[in-house]
Amino acid sequence: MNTSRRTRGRTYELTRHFLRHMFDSEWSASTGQWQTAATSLVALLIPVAMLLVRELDPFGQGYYRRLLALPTPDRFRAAVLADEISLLVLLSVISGVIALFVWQSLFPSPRDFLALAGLPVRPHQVFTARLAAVSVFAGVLVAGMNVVPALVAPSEFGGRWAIDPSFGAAIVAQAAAGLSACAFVFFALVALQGFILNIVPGRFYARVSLWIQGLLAGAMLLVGLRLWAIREWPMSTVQRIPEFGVWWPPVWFAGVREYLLGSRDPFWSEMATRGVQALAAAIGSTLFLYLLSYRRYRRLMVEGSVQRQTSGARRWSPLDLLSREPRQRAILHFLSATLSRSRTQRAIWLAYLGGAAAVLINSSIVDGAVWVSRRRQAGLDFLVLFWPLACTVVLLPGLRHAMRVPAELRAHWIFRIHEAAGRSAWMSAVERFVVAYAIAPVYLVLIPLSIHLHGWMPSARMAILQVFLSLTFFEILFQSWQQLPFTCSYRPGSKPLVTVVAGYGVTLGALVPVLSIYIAAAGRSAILFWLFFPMLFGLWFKLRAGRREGWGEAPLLYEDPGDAVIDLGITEMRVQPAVRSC
Amino acid sequence: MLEVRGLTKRYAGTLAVDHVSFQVSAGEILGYVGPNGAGKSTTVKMIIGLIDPSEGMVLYNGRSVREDLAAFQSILGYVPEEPYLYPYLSGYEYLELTARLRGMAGNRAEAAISEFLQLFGLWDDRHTPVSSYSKGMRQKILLSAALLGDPQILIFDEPLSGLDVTTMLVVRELMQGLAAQGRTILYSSHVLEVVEKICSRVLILNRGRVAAHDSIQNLRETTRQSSLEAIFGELTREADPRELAGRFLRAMTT
Repeated sequence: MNTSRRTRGRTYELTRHFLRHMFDSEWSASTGQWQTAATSLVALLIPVAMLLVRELDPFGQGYYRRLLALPTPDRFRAAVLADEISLLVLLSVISGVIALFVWQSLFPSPRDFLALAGLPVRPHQVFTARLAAVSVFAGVLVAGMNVVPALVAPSEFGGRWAIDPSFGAAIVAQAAAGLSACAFVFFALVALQGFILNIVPGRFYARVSLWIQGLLAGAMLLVGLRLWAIREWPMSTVQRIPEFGVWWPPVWFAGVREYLLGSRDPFWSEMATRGVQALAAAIGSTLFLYLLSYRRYRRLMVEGSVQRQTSGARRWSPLDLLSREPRQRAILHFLSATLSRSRTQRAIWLAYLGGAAAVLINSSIVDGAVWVSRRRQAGLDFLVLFWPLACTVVLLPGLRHAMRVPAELRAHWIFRIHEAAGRSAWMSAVERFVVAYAIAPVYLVLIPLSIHLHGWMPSARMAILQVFLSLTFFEILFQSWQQLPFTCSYRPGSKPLVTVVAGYGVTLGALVPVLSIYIAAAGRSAILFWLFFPMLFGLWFKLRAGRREGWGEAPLLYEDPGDAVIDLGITEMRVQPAVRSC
Repeated sequence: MLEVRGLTKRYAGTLAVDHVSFQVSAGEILGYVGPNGAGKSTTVKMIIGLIDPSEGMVLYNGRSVREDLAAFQSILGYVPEEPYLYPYLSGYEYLELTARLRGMAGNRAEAAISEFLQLFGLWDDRHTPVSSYSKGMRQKILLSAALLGDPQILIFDEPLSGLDVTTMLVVRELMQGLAAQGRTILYSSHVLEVVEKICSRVLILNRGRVAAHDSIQNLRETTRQSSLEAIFGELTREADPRELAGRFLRAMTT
């Protein structure tokens, strides 16, 4: 056989295959769909990165020129450090988010193992190829992300008070700091996955891994949202970095930059050493864990996943409280099982839960009111007022997003052949599920706190308004919903990410705070409540009636236009243009 | 009686099913056979309402099923060609989902599900996710799902695929028993030996068109062939199998 003469070796071909499909994981419904999402992400990151450049910031123009005009370098250098750390945070967060995005591609999966089982490919070749693909991907990613910062930051941070005014030295220092920070985060996450792979029993791996993925996504967002606060650190905070930043990776890599620029401050030298050691440890751990995983891989991933489960059926579930009708219960249990067990849906839902947690925690620690005893009342007021609506704004779209992505698209025939008898009941079940899953829990937790803080009547008025606002938001979001969750094909990126993020920004930054102030006032004043409530109720009622119009009559949708439709075995269906939209 | 009248399906100019007509009476098993791509599964999907026909209609007891699709689907049991199931649900959960979608609830559903799982030897694996099931186990789940709710019409698309020999024999007997009880059965398959044994009539589909539709005895007489396989070969074969196999062997060493 001489076929290998025309190729470049199995490891090379495998590496190329893995690189091509690095992003084709659970986040997209079919091969290549990640490209739309990636384009949107880049389109979003460019303006965010531009905002970091003070000279492009309408409020920050001349910032460094003013600091350079001061008689001493202290304030200039403190500002540079704050900006540098925030830049490193941004780069680290982006690296982390991308690593989480390709989480399923960081190690060989059981699917790789099984799909390649019949081919003349040795397991070590799969591992080598996967490691090579991950390394090449990380290299390109890290280098690509640091080109612009390495050129822009030195020009912004240059001048007479710079540690080393040389532009060339500043480029090298900035590039080294940025590259190290990004590579550290990326490989630390690869190593973390390898660690989980080796300590968690095979059958639990997928579940544990996904929870960690979700938690890390939330943590990344939380840190990312702190970016703007770090940038505005006053000199006093910068001077206290040795007290609180010793174990914070961006500070280590800021130390790399300081050291390369010639600073001989013992603290920054120590941080630089720590940064280099951390990077070496992350890369070393990755290599070690790849080797270790290779040894244990078959047992962990292939054999470990095949386990007979002897228990699991629940005789009763809280979902049974939502309906007694069998068809509705079927849908409620299906939705709950899919959301908690299907990797794709779980990953998306966890990401939004992480996002919600990040928004809530960030907004609550802005001034530390919750933690300071003399201002605790104000802090708790903020929780009671802001959190429910903020949760609604983040979680409802999150649930909608998770529900739009199909789970095992070809299995939806079971619903299609029963749809005519149950359409109306199904839609009603979906409505109940969304309210129970994404709206009710936060109110169940916070209403007792609200009663404790404000007493029964004000709390009742506030809760009623908040609940109806949440329900109104649900009506707006699900107004044209005409599908059974998880059963319709989905084309991601139909709405530009910039628009989505801007929408969140406006809603969370302006609309929710304004509504919260009004709700607080209505909680105190019955007159204001009765002014606001009828209008809100009327709006909700009208939207609800509009949404429910035609329930049970119009067929549900199973195809997203323009999507590569996975059919039920009829190849010809693929060429038929979809005419219905989801 | 289930009647298919002039059923046609076109996909972007391609004729997948071309004016197919047949009837299946209560108590009868109609064998629906044809080569790959002949249009068997497309016909089945049009009958059960998964896809809309381009032309023609499906009637049950003289009325178009489209007039009350919900009522038609409520008396229908279907085993699809491929065992597409939700992999994260257990076998028990999948059957529970099916039972509830059919409007069954409580003890009646539980008893039926438990009975099917035990009869098919899946009881010990009932809480294991379907993703861990073998193809045969998935097929048993699909058969159980089709039988839940005591359907009057059964449409089987390769129901024996992946089953072990004993289960195949049981399912064969089961299909004959269901027909004997007066149920209407459409049996689409490539396993001609089974079709020959259990079906009273056979429809052979080729390139979307009816190539033959008669009782097996009549087909034998008309074509002067001794078996259904020989009849099928004569009506649908386009290349000599031996010659084709030889070409494969040559292609392997090229």
